[in-house]
Amino acid sequence: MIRVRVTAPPGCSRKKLDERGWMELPDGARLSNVLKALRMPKLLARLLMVSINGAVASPDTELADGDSIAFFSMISGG
Amino acid sequence: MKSCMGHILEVDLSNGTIVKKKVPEVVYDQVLSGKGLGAWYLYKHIPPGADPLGADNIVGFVSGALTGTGALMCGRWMVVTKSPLTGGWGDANCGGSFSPAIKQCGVDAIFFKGISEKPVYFFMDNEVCEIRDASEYWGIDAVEAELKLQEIKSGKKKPSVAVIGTAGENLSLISGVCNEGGRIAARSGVGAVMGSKKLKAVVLAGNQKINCEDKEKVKELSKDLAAKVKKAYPPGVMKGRIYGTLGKVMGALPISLPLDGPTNIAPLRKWGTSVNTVMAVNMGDGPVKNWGGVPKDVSALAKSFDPDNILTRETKKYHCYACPLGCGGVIDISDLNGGEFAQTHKPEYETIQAFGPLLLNNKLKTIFYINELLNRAGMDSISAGNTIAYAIECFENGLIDKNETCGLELKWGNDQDIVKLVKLMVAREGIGDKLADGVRKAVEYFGPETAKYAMHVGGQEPGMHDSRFDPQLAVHFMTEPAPGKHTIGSGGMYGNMALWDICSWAPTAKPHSKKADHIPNEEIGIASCATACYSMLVDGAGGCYYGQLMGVHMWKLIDYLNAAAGWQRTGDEFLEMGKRIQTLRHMFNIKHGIKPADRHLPKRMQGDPPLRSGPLKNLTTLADDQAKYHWQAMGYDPETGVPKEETIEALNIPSLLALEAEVI
Repeated sequence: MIRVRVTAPPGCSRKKLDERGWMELPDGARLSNVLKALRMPKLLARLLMVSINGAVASPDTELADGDSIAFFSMISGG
Repeated sequence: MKSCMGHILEVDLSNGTIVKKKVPEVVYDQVLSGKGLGAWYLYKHIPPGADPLGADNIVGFVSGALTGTGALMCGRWMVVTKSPLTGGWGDANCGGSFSPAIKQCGVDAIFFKGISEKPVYFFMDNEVCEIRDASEYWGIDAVEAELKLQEIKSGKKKPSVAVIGTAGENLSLISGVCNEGGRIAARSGVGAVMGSKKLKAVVLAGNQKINCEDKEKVKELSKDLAAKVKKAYPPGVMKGRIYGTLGKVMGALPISLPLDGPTNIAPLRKWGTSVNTVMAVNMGDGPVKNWGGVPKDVSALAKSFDPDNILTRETKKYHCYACPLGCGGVIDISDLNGGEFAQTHKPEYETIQAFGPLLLNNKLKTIFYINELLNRAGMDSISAGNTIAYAIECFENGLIDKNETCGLELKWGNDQDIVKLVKLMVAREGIGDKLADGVRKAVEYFGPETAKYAMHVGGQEPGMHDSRFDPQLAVHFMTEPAPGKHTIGSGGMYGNMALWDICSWAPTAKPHSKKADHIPNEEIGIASCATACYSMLVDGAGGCYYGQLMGVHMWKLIDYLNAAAGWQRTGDEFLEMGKRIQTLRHMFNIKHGIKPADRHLPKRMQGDPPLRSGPLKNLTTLADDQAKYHWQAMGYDPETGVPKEETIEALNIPSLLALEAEVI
């Protein structure tokens, strides 16, 4: 099993996330598995610039343990 | 700690003595290096009541515990001192290559006390360590002086130089210390302390080896981080203006969303921090018109501050020492002002905001020019921008007239007169002399009726992030020993860092209503405590703010520290160490007569009264009440902000302060 961290936008299903935003998936799982668990259409995910570890990614990207998945690039600081 | 050099250098500029001392190992074990080592040393050695610009004050140049170990994003150097701007703890930090240069001379820190009779610089390499005459460099700007000082031969190595410009020489209380062509450790008036000591520069050219305990582990962590950073770059079709749109969306939402640390990487790599400006203004994070305006006050905001416009001038990108990110850049400005300057560093968000929306100035070219003026003078752009905003508002309201402004029309957005005013401040001429020490000093001159336009916390002008937008930021502005700094923490940063995954008592960030966020509560108090403690670890390690912002899963500071030191410490234990450093800095302030509860945000910065339109409409931040929760979580008296005796004891601070460095 692998664990990935998901910063999910409002409106997604959070059922598969623990209270700290982590999701467990089988080895070899892909980003599309996360999108499915969140009930997020792939097209919307692309529009929201879904990323893994800060890099915009396609749904068929294989995930690694500890990956960070997010849906838009906001930066803070200066 | 094997990654530290184990020694410090004490230089007395009054009598020319230089002493190398061994630092007890337990000091590193308890407070790391960086600000921690600096706080330990300055607390013990600066007497209460010391004049910040007098012989008793000490200014220290400190490296980080992870600098030079192979750990990435750990190359920051820090200047620590008693601040002439606030009268309390002062520090500033900067990237570049000066941090490893300190350690390559065989020490973790160099502390200067006393006052030289004539201008001097300090030189050190593997063999030589001496105070030298700097008469030929005095009066020269920081960029030119650094180039000249780098010509000093020392083997094959080009020296690293930390140098003040004319602002520091002129004892401007908003001056900093520069390196690498005008990059500044800008805050707390640290440049004026160097100027008061007649210390023009510190020139370092050692090449000693820096060790660490588990090199393979450090290497493995760095390889993983570098690979991830390399992958994160915006797609070619993505334009910088999309961030402005995102800012509008975020500003309009009634809720705040936790952010993801790694998503900071791609925009920083492509645009640097300048990508922030339009987004920050639109979402309510970027202050406008001396903190009294709203986004629509800035005409042509999106077009004027489009980050892609800045990239069209970029001639090269650069990285700090051991940084995979590379958010820095150099831009061509040879077409501006008759070709006075060929280039300048790509201005940071803070500078663009402070001389752009804060002054309702949308002339980006003027900001490029001001950026270079300030970099060469070694003047803090955050403080300078806030001070000019104060002057403009005083002028607009008839509290300063044209006789006092040397004929300048200090109007919002009058970029040409803003440039002239910057030049007067740098030269300390006319009204510039009254403004060169920041807003608190300016109020002493222009009168108490102008105080309502002076945005400062405990004497220091605030960073360009709005305390009404982010109540946790408001608390850090107020409670940080060097107040008004935006780099300690905020609610947004807390979400990015994900501290709850390394610390058992840090609350998990969740989506929450903006209104609820503005009601003081214990959870934000605990979050701000955790943030402040972690921030001290970052500075102790010599870490970068943007590493911190990537989050604990990406930039693995705890793993790095354990590997470099051979420790097996938990996140909780490390945050306890951060609390120790932060508490030492608080104790420094109290020793020097600062009462933490007397430091307040200006009413305007709290939203009292609230803005009537824009993303901050009707938002008020009850910072004083929220600070009580912060202090409580820190183990301080919630009413006074003074650390409790039992907290000081539990942190082993008395035994730590009883230790002395030994002459070798």
